[in-house]
Amino acid sequence: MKIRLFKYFSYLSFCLYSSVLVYFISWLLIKAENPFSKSSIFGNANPIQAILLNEPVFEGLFPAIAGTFLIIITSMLIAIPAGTGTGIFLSEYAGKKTYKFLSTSIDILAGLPSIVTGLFGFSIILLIHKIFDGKGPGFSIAASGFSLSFLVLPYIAKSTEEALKSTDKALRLTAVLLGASKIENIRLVLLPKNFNQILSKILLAVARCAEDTSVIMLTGAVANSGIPGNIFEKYEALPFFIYYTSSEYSSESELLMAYNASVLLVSICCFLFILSFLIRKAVFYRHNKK
Amino acid sequence: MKIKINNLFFKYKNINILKDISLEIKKNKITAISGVSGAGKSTLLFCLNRLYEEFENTKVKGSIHSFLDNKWIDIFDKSVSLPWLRQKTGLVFQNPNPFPMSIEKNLYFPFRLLTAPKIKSKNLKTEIITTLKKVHLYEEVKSRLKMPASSLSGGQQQRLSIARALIAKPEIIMLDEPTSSLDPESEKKIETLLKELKKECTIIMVSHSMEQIKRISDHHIKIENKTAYQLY
Repeated sequence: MKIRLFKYFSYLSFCLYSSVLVYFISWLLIKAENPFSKSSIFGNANPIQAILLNEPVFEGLFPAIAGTFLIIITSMLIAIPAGTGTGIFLSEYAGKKTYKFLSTSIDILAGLPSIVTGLFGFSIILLIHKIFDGKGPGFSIAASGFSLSFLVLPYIAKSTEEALKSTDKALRLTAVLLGASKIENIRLVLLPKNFNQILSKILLAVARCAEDTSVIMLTGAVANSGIPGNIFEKYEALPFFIYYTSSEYSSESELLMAYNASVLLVSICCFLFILSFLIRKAVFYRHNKK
Repeated sequence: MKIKINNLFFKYKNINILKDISLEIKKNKITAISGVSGAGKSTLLFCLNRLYEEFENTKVKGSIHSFLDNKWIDIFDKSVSLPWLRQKTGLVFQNPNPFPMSIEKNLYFPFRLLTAPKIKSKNLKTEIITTLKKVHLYEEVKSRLKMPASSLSGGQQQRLSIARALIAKPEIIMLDEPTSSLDPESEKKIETLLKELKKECTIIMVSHSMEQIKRISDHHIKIENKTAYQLY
């Protein structure tokens, strides 16, 4: 009886969750109007000229899409080496006391609300302004990327640590037995062995960067800036565009743009999840094909 | 003589695992080590290449001298290079554990290490083929050297593990129950291989099977009550 009840409860939870997801996606798709169309993305501009940055896009979502990708790239350039490095240190080198301290710090960082991380980025910008007398880099892609990297660093660090720790003890010792130093063992055996596990977590972290709003609204995202010329300029991003437009819209067409941007953002996140799944499958197939 | 062990004591978490072991292991012979589970057979192997240093809370006392590169080496001497010692004293585990890479790259692995002897890529290919032939695996895998090592059967993977240890040119090769997880046919192939290998290496093998020990070993050491007895 208990087993049956548990089974029904599981089914019910699944149905509830799936129906919310289906309702949410359907609602977005109904409200949006041709989100992938040329006019939705590039407005009246020529797509090729816009991509080549020869023509500005005023009425399309292209600057926000480009800005979203730029902050993803910037934050990942910081978070991937720092996160994997921290994970490797925790798993392979940290002594008991250092491990406890660092591991707790990472857990606290993981639990911080993103608005606090945004505030941290904001305070860094104010500090730089103070030091350089208002002339240093301020609200920009660099500032957002730096702050976002702290948001996802704990996921990357913990997943790297867990992946390395889960390696079979015999395999871990095999390279050592052949004369490998610790660093060679990590580089040639442990990281390649756990590559797919680490990479799929990194892609999830990328999706987290793509959808975060709190951090970027405090560190450099604006409503209208066009495509930035370098990483020290302000930028547009899809999550901030959605937040700003839906809260300040003055016409139905502006609200429609927010729905279109939402569909595009969900599509980017879905694409990243599918990519993560495919990479995992590909690596598994590469290691296990008969 | 290849190895001389004198008054070896080994403690793990302050518990005596091995006590006052004195042994001599002869060159180019197969020495089998037997004993009940937990007797310390694998620990003894771990002492011979200082693998115990990879574990915490271990303590060793006594001395082990190995005849490597034509001279007697005190292996507990801190000046002895661990990568070198481990290359010279290879160890193959009970379960085959190929690296997550191709068959060919598994064998190429020891040459990718900093301490490895430099070898030209042309000679490397020959070396890989020679070693695979030595372990009687070449004919079975020659058409799929670039395939993942995990695609091999258990017996083939174990022979690949032996080949990977052999390609580093060890003078001593230790095998920890190498056939316990294999079918009788694969077991036979590995036994034949070990008999051939003793011409170029000193072999130390842990085994639970008395039949196997009788079939292939030249000497037999039994570990009982934390100490070792040379039976023949």
